Amino acid sequence: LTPGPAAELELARACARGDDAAWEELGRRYFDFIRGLAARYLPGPSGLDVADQVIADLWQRRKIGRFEGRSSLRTWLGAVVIHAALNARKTERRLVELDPEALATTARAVAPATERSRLSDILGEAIARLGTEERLLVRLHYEQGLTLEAMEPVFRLSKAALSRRLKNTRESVRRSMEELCRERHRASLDDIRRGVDFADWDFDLDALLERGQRIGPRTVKEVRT
Amino acid sequence: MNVDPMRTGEHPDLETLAALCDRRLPEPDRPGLVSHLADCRACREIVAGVTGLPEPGRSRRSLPWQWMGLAATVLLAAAIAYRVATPAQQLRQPAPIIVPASPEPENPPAAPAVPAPSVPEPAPAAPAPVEVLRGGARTIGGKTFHLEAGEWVDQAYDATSSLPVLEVSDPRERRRLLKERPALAPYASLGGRVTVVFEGTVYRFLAPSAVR
Repeated sequence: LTPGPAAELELARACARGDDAAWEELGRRYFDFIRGLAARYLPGPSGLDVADQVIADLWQRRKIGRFEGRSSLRTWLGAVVIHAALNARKTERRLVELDPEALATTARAVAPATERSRLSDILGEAIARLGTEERLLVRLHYEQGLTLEAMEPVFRLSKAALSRRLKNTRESVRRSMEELCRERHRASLDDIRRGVDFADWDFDLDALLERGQRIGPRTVKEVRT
Repeated sequence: MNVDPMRTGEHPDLETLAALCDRRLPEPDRPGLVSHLADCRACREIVAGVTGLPEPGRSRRSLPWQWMGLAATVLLAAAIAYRVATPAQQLRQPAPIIVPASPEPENPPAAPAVPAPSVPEPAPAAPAPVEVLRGGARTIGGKTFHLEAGEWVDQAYDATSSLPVLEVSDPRERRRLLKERPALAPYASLGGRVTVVFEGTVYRFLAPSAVR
């Protein structure tokens, strides 16, 4: 049985006070969950290290005392573990990126072809034109791979309503792209797409959107004036 | 553990993100958080991970439909426009963003959890058809995959095993590997992030849009 919010908060507070029995209870309920979740993000010894570090911080540094009962304890612990695992993953990647060979490979990989760059700019701008809710919808769905069901609590909408909103958002992006193609290149979206070889097209969605947000409003203003 | 975002003043604290996922965030606080999430990948990744957590009492949360990254979506749009897509490809690809798509598929009921075998399975014959199971699991080449927090995970994967793990995030490295081991290609194409156990090694494929 899942304990109620008050019981969870009391358990966390007891742990923060250094109550050994409460700590044992916390471990019985959640340590397997913490280890399993960390291992999903970082397979092998790294995941175990992160789980051990999270558990040590909760107890020795009394981070468990930060829990205020505004969410379930399990969800909060999940967020703590995922945050720690993502940071550890980024640290590992930074170490890899310091390798000169890897840097050279990356530099070659990010050099964009002109046609792809043009289409990427248009797509980035089209998404940047969306409202915040729609932009988040696109990013959670396409970038993070969340299903409509998983996104329900975030948007507080039913699956059917999210489905309609996603469909409308896709159409909005497509319309914006067609508009941008006409304004910027005096060509149709099909014309622009025709020149792009998609088979070898890799791009970073974040960079795309940042670029779109940066140049989007200026470009629109220029066109309108 | 690294610095908690709640202490930096730049991000919402972890419990606020958790409260959003638990539907416990007060409504007046939601618009500001949504606005932050729309532009903050770090917080978005945490929310995505938390919303994809298995519910208590279930070892896996089976999700219904795989949507690849936006890059793959645009690629599919081009494929539809200029190439002939096979039915199997259409089955496992998301709806295109620049081509109006058919309505979202309905989420079927969750499938019961299946214990993961500890021994890797043999390679399938390629190309292997993709079968969408009830509960959102996929089978391909005799392997079953479940979607967990946006990542397709081979049922045979055991996080506590001592198998070597090879992370593949660089597109060139990915292409080289798939050229050398084409039997991996059907698995890698399942989505943006895929973990598969193959011939005694765990391969983790990470799409460029999933890596930063």
